[in-house]
Amino acid sequence: MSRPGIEAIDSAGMYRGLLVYVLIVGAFLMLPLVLAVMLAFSSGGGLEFPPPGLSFKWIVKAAATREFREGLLISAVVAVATGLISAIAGTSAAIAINHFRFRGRAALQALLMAPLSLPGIVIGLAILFTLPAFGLVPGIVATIGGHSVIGVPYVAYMVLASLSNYDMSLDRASASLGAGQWQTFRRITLPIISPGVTAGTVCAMLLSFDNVALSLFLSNGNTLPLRMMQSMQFYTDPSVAAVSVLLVALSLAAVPFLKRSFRETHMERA
Amino acid sequence: MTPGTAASLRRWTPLLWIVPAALVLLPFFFLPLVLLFRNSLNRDDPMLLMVPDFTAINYIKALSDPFYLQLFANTIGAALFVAVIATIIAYPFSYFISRYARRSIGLVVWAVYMPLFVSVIVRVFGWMIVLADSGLLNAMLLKLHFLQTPLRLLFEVDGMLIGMVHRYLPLAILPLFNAMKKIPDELHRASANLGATPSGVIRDVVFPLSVPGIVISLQLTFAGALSDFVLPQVLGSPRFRMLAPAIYAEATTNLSTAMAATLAVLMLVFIIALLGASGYLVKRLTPWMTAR
Amino acid sequence: MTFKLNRRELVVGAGAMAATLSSGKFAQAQSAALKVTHFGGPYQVLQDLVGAPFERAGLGRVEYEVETTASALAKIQSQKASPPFDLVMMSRSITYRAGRAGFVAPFERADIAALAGTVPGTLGPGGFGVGYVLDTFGIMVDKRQVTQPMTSWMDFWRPDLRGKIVLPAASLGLSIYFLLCIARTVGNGKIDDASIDEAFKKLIELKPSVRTFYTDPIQASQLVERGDIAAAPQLSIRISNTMRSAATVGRFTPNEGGPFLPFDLSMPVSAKNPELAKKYLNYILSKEVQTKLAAGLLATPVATGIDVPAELRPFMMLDTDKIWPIDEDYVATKSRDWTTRWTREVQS
Repeated sequence: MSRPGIEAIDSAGMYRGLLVYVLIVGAFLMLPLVLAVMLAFSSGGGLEFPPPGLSFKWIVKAAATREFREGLLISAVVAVATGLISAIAGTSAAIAINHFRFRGRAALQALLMAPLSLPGIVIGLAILFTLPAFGLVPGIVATIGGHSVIGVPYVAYMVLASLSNYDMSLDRASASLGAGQWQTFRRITLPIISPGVTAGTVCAMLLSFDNVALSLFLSNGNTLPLRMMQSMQFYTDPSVAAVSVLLVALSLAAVPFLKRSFRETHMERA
Repeated sequence: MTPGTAASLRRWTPLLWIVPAALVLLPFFFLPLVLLFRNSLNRDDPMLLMVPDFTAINYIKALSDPFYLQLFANTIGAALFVAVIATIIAYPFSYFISRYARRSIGLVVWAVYMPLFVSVIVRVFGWMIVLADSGLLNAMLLKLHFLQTPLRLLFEVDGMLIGMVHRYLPLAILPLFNAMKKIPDELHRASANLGATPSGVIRDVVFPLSVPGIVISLQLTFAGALSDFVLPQVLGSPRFRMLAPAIYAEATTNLSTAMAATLAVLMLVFIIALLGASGYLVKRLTPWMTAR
Repeated sequence: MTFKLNRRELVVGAGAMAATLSSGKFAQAQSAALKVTHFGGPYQVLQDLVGAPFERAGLGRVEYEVETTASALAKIQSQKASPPFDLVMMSRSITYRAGRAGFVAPFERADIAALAGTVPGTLGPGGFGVGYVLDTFGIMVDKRQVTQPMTSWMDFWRPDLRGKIVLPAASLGLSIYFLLCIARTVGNGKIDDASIDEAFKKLIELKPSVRTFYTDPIQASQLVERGDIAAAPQLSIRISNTMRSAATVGRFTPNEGGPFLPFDLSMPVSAKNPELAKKYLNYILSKEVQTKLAAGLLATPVATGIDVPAELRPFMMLDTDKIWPIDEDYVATKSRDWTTRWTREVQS
C-alpha cells in the first residue's frame, strides 16, 4: 500500500496508530447516519434496531407522501436561490475584505460572521417581525432571505480561505496590462477562487436544504425539513429516515464539487 | 480618467464590493437585530403579552437572578466542553489527513462533511437508537457485562454532549487541516535532520504553527455549541437548561418576547466579545504568526 | 468558462422564478380561499374530511397550512394589519391570551348556530376561540410494566413506579395541566393558590422518581412504547393514537378526571374573510363532520350525541363527565410564575 508523504524519519508505529484512530473517529462520525439509513430499509413499524427485516416500504411510502414531494420541490427552489444569492454576496464580500485595506476591515469581517453566532430561531423570529416593513409575508421569498443570511458568511469564509494563498501580484500585472478591475476579477481571480466559491455555495445550499429554525417562522410550514419535523412530532415510524436516504444521496451528489475544491486548493505540488 | 478620479474611485471600491452582502444582511439580519434590541427594552405582561416600554428591567433580571445566571453558566460550560473535546479529537485526525492521506481527501471530505448535511432530524433518530436506556450502546455494554444497569444517556447531559461533539467535530477538523497542510514537508525533514524525534517534531514544530487553526477550530465550535437549539432541546436534559431552548421557551411558552429578546442580545454580545478577545489573545501569544 | 455563462442565465431564471412564486400560485394574495391552520401529522385528514366536502357543498374553498401554536401566534402578531390566516388553530389558553392582547377577534354566540349542539365551553371565554376537537389529560402506561390499575393522579407516587415515570417539562404547556390535575386532587376539587402550593410540595416529593421531563409529547409516547418508561401523563388524543398503533400501550383515566382542553379555531383581527370563516365553523361543528373528525383523529368530539364506530371505542376517551373546566383568567395570570416555579423546584 503506497503511503504518500511518509518519510523514512516518520515512525511506522505512529502511522499505524494514527490510522486506527482516524478509522475509529470516522466510524463515530458515520454511526447515527448509518443507523438512520438502515432504519429506512426496515420492514418493521417502529424504531427498533436491529430492524426485523429489510423492505422498501418506507422509501415507497415517503416517496408517495404528497407533503414530502411538495416539500422537496419547495426546499429545492429555496436552496438554489439561496445558493445563488449567497455566492454573489459572499464572494464579493470576501474580495472586499481580502483585496483592500481600509479602516474597520476587521470589524466588517466580524459583522459578516455574526449571523453564525445567533441561534436560528432567534434570527427567524426577529426577521418575521421586520418582514412587514418590506411588504413581505412569510413565504418563499422571506425564507430565501433568511437562509441567505446563513449562507453568505459560509461562502465568504470559504472564499477567504481560497484567497489566503492568492497572489496579489497577479492583479497588479493584470492592471498594468490595461485590464479594468471587473475584468481582472472575472478572468483572473474568479477562476482561481472558483473551488472556494463552489464549496461555499454547495455548503449554503445544503444548509438551506436542512434548515428548520428559520423556515419555521419564515415559510408556510411546507419545506422538506419542516414536513419531516411535523411527521416526527406525531409518528415514530421510519418514514422520516426514508426521506433522509434521499438527503444522503443528495450529499453524495455534492461530493465531486467538494472533492474538486479541496484538491485544487490543498493539493501540494507533486 | 484623471488620476484624481481614479484615486477617489479606488477609495469607494471596497464599498461597492460589499453592496451585495449588505443588500442581504442589512434587511434580513441587522435590522432584525435592531428590533431585537428594541424588544429587549419592552415589558412582558401575562395578559397583554408585550407592552411597549423603555426599561432595563429585563437585563437586570437576566444578569442578577440565579435562575438565569445558572442558564449562562450551563451553556458556557457545555459549549466550552464541546469545543475543547472536539478540537482535541480533531487534532490527530487532521494531522493524519494532512500528512498521509492527501490522495484520499475526497473520501475524507465526504465522511467529514456528510454529518453536517444530513438532516439534524435524522441524526437525532440515530442518537435515540444508540443512547436510549434500551438502545444499542446499553445493549452492547450489558451483554458484555461491563454494566449491571443501563447507563442513562438519553435526555441527560451526557447524551447531549456526545451528540454535540459529534455535530461539531467536522467543524473542528477542517480549520485544523487547513492550518496543518500549510506546514511544508521540508520543515519536518529539517527538524528530523536536526535530531528531533517524531513526537518532538509535533510538539515543537507542528503544534506552534497550527495554533491559528486551533483557535479558529475552538471559536467555530464554541460559537456553534453556545447557540445550539436542536440538540439540547431534543437530546438534553430539561434539568440542565441551555440558552437557546430557554430563549425559545420564553418566547413561546411564557409568551415573554421581551425577555427572550434580552437573552438573545446577551448571547450575541457574549459571543462577539469572546471572539474578539480570543483573536486579540492569539495575536499576543503567537507573534510569529502575524497575519499576512 | 461554462461556470461564468451558466451563472448569468441562472440568475435571470431564478429571479423570474422567485417573482412568479411569490406573486402567483404560492402567495394567493387576492384569492377567496379560506386559510386555515392546523398542527400537521394526523390533522392532515382535515383536507379530506372537512376541506374537500366543504368545497363540494359549494360553501367555499379551503386552504390548509401547518403551523405550530408558537409559529402561528408569532405570525399573527407580526402581521397584525394583514394576517396570513383566516382561522388559526391553537390551544385554548394561548387563544384566550391572544384574544385578551387584541390579536384575535371575538365571536358572538348568535353568529355560529351550530354551537347549540355542542358541549358548554365550546365557545371560549370572551368568545375568542371555538373549540372543534376536545382533548384532555390522561395516564399513558406500558401494559407490560403496570399490572395494577391506576385510578388516581396520586398513583404516580406509587413505589412500584419509582424511576419509571416521566413528567412534562416546564417549557411544555402540558406541565401546567398536570399541575392543575394534582392541585385539584389535593385541593378536593378546588384550584387556588393554596392547592397549587400543596401540589408543588407533593411534586417535589415525586422528583427522585422522575426519569426525565419530556419537552415534546412525542417523547413520552416513544418512551412508553419502547418500555423505557412505565407511565406518563399525556394528552388523551395522543394516547388514543399510540394505543391504536402499539398493543402494549394502555390508558387509565383517573377518577378525578382531566381538564377541558379544546383546540380552538380563532380569527385574527383584520382577517379578510369573516363571513366565510363563520360558515366554516358552522360546518365543522355539525354532527356529520364531528363524527368523521372523532373517528379520523380519535379525538373527543365537541358536538353532543355523536355515535362513534364500535371498533374505535376502546381507543378513545369518551367520558365527558370526567372533564372539568379551567379558569382561563386565573391560569393566564399565574402560568408564568408556575412555569418558573416548576423549573426551579421540580425540574432540578
